[in-house]
Amino acid sequence: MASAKNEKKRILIVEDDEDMREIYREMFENKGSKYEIETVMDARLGFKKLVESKFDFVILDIIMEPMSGDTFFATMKGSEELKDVPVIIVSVLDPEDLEWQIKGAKKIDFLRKPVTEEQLFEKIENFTAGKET
Amino acid sequence: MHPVAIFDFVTFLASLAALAILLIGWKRAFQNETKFVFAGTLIFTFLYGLCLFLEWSGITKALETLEDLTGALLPMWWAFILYALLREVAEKELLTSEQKFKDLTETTSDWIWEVNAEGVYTYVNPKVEDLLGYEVSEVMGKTPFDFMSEDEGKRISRFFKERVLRKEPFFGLENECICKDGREVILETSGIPIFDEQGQVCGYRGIDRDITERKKIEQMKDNLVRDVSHTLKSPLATAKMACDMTKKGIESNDMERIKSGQNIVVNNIKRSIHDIESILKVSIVGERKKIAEKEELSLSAIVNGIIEDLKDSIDEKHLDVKVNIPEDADKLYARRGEVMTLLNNLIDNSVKFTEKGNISIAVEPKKNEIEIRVEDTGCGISPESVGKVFEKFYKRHAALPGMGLGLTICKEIVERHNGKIEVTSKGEGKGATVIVRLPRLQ
Repeated sequence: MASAKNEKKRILIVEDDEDMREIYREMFENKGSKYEIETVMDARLGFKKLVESKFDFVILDIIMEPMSGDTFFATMKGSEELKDVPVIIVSVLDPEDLEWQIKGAKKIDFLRKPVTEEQLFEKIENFTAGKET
Repeated sequence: MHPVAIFDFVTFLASLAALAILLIGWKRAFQNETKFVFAGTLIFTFLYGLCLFLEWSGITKALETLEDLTGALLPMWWAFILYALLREVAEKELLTSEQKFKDLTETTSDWIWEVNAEGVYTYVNPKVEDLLGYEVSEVMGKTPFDFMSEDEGKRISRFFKERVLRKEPFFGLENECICKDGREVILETSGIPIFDEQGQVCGYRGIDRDITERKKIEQMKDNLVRDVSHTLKSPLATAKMACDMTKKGIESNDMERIKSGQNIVVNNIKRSIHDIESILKVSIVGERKKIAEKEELSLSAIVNGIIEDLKDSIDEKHLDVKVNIPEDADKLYARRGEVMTLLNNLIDNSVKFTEKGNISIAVEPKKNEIEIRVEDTGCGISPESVGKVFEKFYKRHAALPGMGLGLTICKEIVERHNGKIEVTSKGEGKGATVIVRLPRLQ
């Protein structure tokens, strides 16, 4: 799955909070041509988008309704086509609270909200470079 | 008088006294041996007295040997009487304490038990039936591990064996047991070792109590605290990130960014304050708050304002929102803030829980009241949950956002206006309807 350095990375952001979506948009605007993002407020819509087109990875909020983030995540990882798409979970929850949901899942990382722009992009770079925790 | 004679006489009297004491004590039940002790003492005392009398009265001295013999043995009989009396007192005390034990063990709300060193029940009080549903006879001869799942039984039996080896008591051991009817309960067990004369553990005795309710409540409390904390943390975390945005805006002299960031910060702080106020409102019993003034409101204006605020969500899901508020049902005399909260919570809920389809908000004038109907084609409510939607902090799933107070607050507002609120749903996936009736006040 090698991508050329100047190919844009496509990132799907699933986040139901409008303010957070705006913050993400601002953050990615700075990075200009490196990333292309699409934001959805609804996990089901997010799933639809994932199936429709290719994304390099997903940034996900875990507490949403009516389909919660962890259902979205579980569904994604249970699907043959989508289970290898890397996911970064951004949430106020502690990683320990999510342990049972992400146990054993590959290609997943976690950031505790609030995150700084630096922290977020460091994680994204790491993912791109193939390092995961 | 002969000095020894006084001694003899005193001995004789003492013996009579001992007999008298025994007779008094004999009124209550005595062992059969007491008859023997009484008879023996009586015979010897009589013989001794007879010999004394014959000697003093000068009739004959020939029985001197018998006199010495009986006199010497009298103390022995007194010792027997003393023993009989002491034994009687001890028996009485034992019976009282046994009765005390029996009374306590049968009236206490805890299950009291005794097991042998292998863990087999040798005594259980009747309370076991309340805890596990099994009768005393069904429990005796079995072990506690027989009433647990296989894994739990192994774990607890290992724990017990280890305690027996260490000869140590244990307190507050939590264990899951299965009742006769299949229900699972959590019990808290404490026990102390019983030692035999060689100092070996020959069993344990202790109590069990049912802590299932307590554990459930503890879990609920933990969930609640977690939910509330996350709900409160979320807008604040967003505000912090917006501050970063503002800072970047200041650094790069980007007015747009500064404004956006600032707006987000303010909104989210307001949200936090609002959430905290919601919690206070429903959590403090008897909270006396200043009640706002009632005024004339336009329901259509309020509803349209709410729909405008929710425009993004509505458009993204392509929901069809119909508002039907005829002229003669538009005006309402009520407290503005509360009505806005009420309608906002109901419409927001519908938008949140409806993936596709439509939402309809209708107001109908009835005789002395107006009826507000919010109907949606959303994910509906299961029959089991429908009765709980108004409960404080109730959420369908733990992973859903919020604190579960939306409808709780709606109900309070409606009741404060002397109205009624009702939620119905044909089931999961079949939409929901909320009907609010508020009295009309001119």
